[in-house]
Amino acid sequence: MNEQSEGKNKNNRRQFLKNLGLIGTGAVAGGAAIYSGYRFEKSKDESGERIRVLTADNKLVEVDKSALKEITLDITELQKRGREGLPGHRWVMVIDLSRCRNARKCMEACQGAHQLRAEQHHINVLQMQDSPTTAPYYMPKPCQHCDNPPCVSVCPVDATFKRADGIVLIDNERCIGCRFCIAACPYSARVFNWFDPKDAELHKDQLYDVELNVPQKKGTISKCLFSADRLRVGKMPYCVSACPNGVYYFGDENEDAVTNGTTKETFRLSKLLRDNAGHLLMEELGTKPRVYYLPPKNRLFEFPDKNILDNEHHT
Amino acid sequence: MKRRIMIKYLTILIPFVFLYINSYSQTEEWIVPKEKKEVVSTFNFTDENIKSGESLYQKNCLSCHGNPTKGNFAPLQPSPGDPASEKFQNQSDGSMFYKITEGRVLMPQFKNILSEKERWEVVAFIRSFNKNYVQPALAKIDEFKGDAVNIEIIFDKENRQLIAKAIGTVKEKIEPVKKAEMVLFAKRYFGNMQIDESKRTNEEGMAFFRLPEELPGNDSGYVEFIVRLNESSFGDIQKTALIHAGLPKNMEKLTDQRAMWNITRKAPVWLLISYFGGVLFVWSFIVYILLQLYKLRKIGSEVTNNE
Amino acid sequence: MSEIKNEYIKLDKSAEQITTDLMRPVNLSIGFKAWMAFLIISLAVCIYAYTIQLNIGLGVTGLRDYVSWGMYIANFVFFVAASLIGMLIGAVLGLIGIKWITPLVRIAEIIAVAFAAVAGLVIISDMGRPERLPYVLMYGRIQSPILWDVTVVTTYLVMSLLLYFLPLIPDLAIGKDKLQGVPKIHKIIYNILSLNWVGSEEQIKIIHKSVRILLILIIPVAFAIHTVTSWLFAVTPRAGWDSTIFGPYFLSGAFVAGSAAVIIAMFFFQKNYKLKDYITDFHFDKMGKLLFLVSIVYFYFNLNEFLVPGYKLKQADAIHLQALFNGNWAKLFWATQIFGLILPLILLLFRKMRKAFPILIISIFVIAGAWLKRYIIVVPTQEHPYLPIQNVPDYFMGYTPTLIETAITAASIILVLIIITILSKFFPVIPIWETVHENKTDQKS
Repeated sequence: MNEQSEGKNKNNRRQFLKNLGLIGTGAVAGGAAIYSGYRFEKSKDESGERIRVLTADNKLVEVDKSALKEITLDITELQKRGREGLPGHRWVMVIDLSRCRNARKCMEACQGAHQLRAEQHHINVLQMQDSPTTAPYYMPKPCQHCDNPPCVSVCPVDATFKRADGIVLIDNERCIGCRFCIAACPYSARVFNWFDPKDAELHKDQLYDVELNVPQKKGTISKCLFSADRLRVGKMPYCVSACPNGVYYFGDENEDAVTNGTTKETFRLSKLLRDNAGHLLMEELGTKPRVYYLPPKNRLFEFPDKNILDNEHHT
Repeated sequence: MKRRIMIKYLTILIPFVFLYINSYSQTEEWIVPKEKKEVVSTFNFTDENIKSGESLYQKNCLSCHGNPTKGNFAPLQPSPGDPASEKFQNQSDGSMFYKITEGRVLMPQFKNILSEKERWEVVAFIRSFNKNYVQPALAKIDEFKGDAVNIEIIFDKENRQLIAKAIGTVKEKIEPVKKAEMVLFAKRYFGNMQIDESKRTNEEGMAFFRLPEELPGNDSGYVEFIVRLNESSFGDIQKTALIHAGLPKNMEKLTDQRAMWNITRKAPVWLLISYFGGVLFVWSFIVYILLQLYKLRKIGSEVTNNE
Repeated sequence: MSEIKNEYIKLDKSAEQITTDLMRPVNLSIGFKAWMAFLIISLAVCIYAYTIQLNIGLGVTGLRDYVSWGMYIANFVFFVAASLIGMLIGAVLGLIGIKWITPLVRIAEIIAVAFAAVAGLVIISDMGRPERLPYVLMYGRIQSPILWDVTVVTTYLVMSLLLYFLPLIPDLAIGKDKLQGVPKIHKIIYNILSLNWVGSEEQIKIIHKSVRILLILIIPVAFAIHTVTSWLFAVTPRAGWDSTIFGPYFLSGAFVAGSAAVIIAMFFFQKNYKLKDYITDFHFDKMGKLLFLVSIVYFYFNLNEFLVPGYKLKQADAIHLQALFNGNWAKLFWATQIFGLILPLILLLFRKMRKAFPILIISIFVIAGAWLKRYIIVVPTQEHPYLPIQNVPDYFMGYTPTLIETAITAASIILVLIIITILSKFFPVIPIWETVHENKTDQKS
């Protein structure tokens, strides 16, 4: 009996998630209305007058259909929720350097989602070599979403800011294009729209969502956002989900859990980092990154060159 | 002394471990235990199964194996291969199921990600590319097949363990589910995190899971646990329970502290004082001088008028 | 005609004569008109370049994601630097009672006003969205050095304007009757700006008091403006910028640039405005000594800035220094250091070199070196970020200014020249009232 209702709930949930997807697509196509906050689902009861609604805090309630109002988010609402972040979370990413084979699916997915030009990288897979006697390896490098972000410190207009959940976002509507943040970032994580962004004409009527930072705007900064828009709907970032090699783990430090983007397996963050000697990138700068790296040992692939230090812009 | 010996042993051991890993990753052949090869599905592959297998495939397998028949699989080592290829189709259902279940090197283990039924549905989808495929006779369903199974979850606070008890109804008689595999998960934001190892139920249908010491729960310390019974004869059974077995989640905002990177209202106090103090100090003098100039002009006009 | 006395030039002239001499350049001569026409046409061409940048975006510059600050920022730093001389000559030397600066104070102040005013515009030309400038006031974060910079540059500009204007008030009252061959509006402006000056004791007291307050107050403000400008770099964790001495290093460099600018201006005013009796070889000699003094201080900071990291050679610093000392920046770096600093230092030791013409040439080298030095401080650091530059077109790795960028930079320099020209042509460039006053007191004593 118990599992019966359990199963049904599960079914319903799947159904309304599907509905949610449809509504979302519709809203985007409609141009103005973006639907969120309340997700609802038509009850399968014959009456059709009552409607089941899943509230923001995950409670299923039944209300009269006439009492239901669809909430559309305008730019102010989007900005507000974008600046607040998701309460109770502290997002973290773990990147396993031993698994990266330079497939670059992450870069593609990211550039597609954020309407970036080919040379603009929110995430960039770098060929690294620490010293001439050690082996080269691939290192995906997103924004480190530092807890002591030098870029945010120097921003004169609060255009780039850190949210309560750890994400460092950039607000296109606010950025004045001084590029102080580019100068301050030791990870070269930021890009600038030097020209009209890619397909500017095509996207010009799109409603600006600070969590996705599209449409991009000429004369403003763009950067990795940990796909804040996807986290809101329970999905992992674009790059994480796109990786075919299980390089990325993403999760919540507050839950002490990260989920592998490829295998969807969930691990304890603390144990993963302890067991694999996780480290931070340039920790000595005091930036307190939110992206951990697992060392490139026992790598599962051959690096094409034995030594890349000579032919690179390192020196 | 003891430690030195240990290190010595370790140094001897380590190369072997590497050798093992190395040889493992280099093997092209993936050996499936004989008894696993012969495993068959418990249900007939219907169109509906194939359809849901397709959506599962797209979510979990597409990124490496590509679209079946297209040969657009990822160039990895060992090669994932195209599931529609002859090499794939020539293996038994059981082999496919085993490989999906256990994984190897880059191929993930799906035993805790997809349910048994879902894994078989993926097999069904892969088989749909083989016109000559005939599904073998279904597995003999366990006599133990019951009408319903209930899983009871008890939190043993003292020993910090979770006890899951599976009960099935057989021929209108309630009996514990014995020697069935059970897995415990804690619900996390992006997926379910396995707690402890998978266990077999005992004669009373009970499995015991050790809970980790510091497991964050929700804001008041409740953790949503999921127990899954991996016993195909009973289908896909799982039970969810909200138990006060974790630490209250850290709800503190990262933006609470005063810092250089925070908003102006959250700027360090010394900075607020020195900035506004400095500006006020200097500008009060400037305003004073402007007033003096006004006064200067007034004096001048008085002098001129007097003349 | 005149003799050197008590460390300043005693003029053998009546007050009437002095007034006539100093008001003579205030007119709209053909030379002035031609010069202004030339400046304005050049400015118009360069402003056209800016409209291209506005339309297409900052991509018309040579800047890209790695080297994202270039000529504009270097030019900005240079402008802020040059403007500091107003404080050094007017405030520091004035307050310690040095007398020979009297004919130079206003020149220094004009340079301060012109450079400080245009510095703000230079920053706007570097902005991706200049129309959002008001956001700095509306949403300003006080933790950002840019906000500090905006605050202190504005404050410094206002104070420099006051320091220029206050001593000018008596001159306007004195000079308004001497104006010849100028449009009526010119006289009206003189009338309004002279603020009913009658030279009463009370008025003199007000001027003296206000100027004194400003002179004292402008010292910390001027220190702040350039220290904060240096912090635009020093607060970032990048090799080459991550330095604790950037504040004084920039400040001492600023005085070098400013002194050279004043010397160049002195030379042109002396020649064009026929002020031989007022700006003499004695003044050039003194300015030469001042330039030597500030240059040797600057040299000392250079030594610190390069020797200390060069001794340790931490990886990132080593890469940066390698590029400067014998990499792709070596030619420019050594040329700047030798011709802009070391050679001038040596030459200035000789009295002959501190005469008007030789010191003009030296100053031109110094000021060119000062500009290039800012460029060398701004650009090379960004070419060597901590992480390798990859997966971008090759030209992202370096930086070459484009023609448009150069034109926009030229526009700012032209604008400075226009402001200097106007201020020095519409109003007397040497304080009349003070010169007369000082001469009188000296005659009495």
